[in-house]
Amino acid sequence: MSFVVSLALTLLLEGTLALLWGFRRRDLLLFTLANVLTNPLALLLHLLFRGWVVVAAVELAAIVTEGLLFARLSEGIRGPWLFSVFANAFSFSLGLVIDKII
Amino acid sequence: MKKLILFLTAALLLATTAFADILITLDDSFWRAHQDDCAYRYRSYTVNSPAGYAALWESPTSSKQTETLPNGTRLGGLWHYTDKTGETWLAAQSGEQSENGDEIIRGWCRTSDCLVVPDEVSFEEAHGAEFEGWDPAYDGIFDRVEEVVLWKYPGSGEVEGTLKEVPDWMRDFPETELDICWRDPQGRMWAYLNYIFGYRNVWICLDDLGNTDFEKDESILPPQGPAYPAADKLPPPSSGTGGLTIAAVAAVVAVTILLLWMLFRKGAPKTNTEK
Repeated sequence: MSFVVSLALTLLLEGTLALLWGFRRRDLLLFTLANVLTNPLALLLHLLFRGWVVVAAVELAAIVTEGLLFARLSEGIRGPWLFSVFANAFSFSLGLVIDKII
Repeated sequence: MKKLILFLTAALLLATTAFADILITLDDSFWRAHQDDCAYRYRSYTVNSPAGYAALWESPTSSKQTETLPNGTRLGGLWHYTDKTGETWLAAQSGEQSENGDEIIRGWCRTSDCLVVPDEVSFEEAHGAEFEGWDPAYDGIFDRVEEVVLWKYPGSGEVEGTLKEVPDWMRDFPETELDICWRDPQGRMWAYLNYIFGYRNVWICLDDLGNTDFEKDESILPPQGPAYPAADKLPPPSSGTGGLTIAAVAAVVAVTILLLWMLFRKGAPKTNTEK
């Protein structure tokens, strides 16, 4: 999957969740930048290194990075860490399904 | 009575064919998306690239390699894909199956990096224009024969198997299935069988049905290309991710960090965070 497609899908899926979670305006911008920061890097690492250990480590790093950004920089996101875990797990799982279908 | 026997024989043949015609499916996303564009025919190849090695790719459209193989490596597979440029790709078998019975492949290989192991397809390509129909002069040759030797192709020198029992249709109506025939330079007539008792794409020598000693005739097929030596050192499979991609991602990360710092550096009031 190309970097652009991966990021677009992530923003679409997790963005939907973010809206439902209550993200508004500035926090949505924060959400977008957080994913632009983590998604291409995560995909690059997946391409360069194989194995489930790498996958787990990369996904964990993405959750921690986004969680930190939401917790420290947001205006009023409820449960930023919980959101980060949930959103990343959701998009990762859906990504596996899409990969199987494609 | 004869019609009944014929009907039953045909029904048996159909049932046998249906049972034998189980399509081997691949555990591969590219194949699933392009199955209709793939040809289904088993062929073997020997890796033979001027570079001394060939790569197996994740898919014909991927830049990611799964393996690199030195010249001389034997590959085989059932599925072939031809891309828009006319390049034909082989889905190289691994010999393993997934949990749901799909064949796991090692990767996709350009057949232009290989030499095909001569087979009945090679024979047809070389002599297809010389094929003729069944010659009634051979009617009745199966009446008293005890066994029929099956060959890979005329002049291959390779016996694929032996029929210990000649089916009734072969005795009574050989022209129905043996309608592709070829006369070799020695004057012997050969007939092609698409399928019989588990054997696919075989030839029989009508003038010497039970002979197992036909030697390989190198002149039957045109010579293949030069055999290139294997590379001394095999490069590791490429991940498909070049320096440019890495640099682009690094740039995106750097710009994003900068934007985050510029837009959010004064921070926001801390919320109650979940533990």
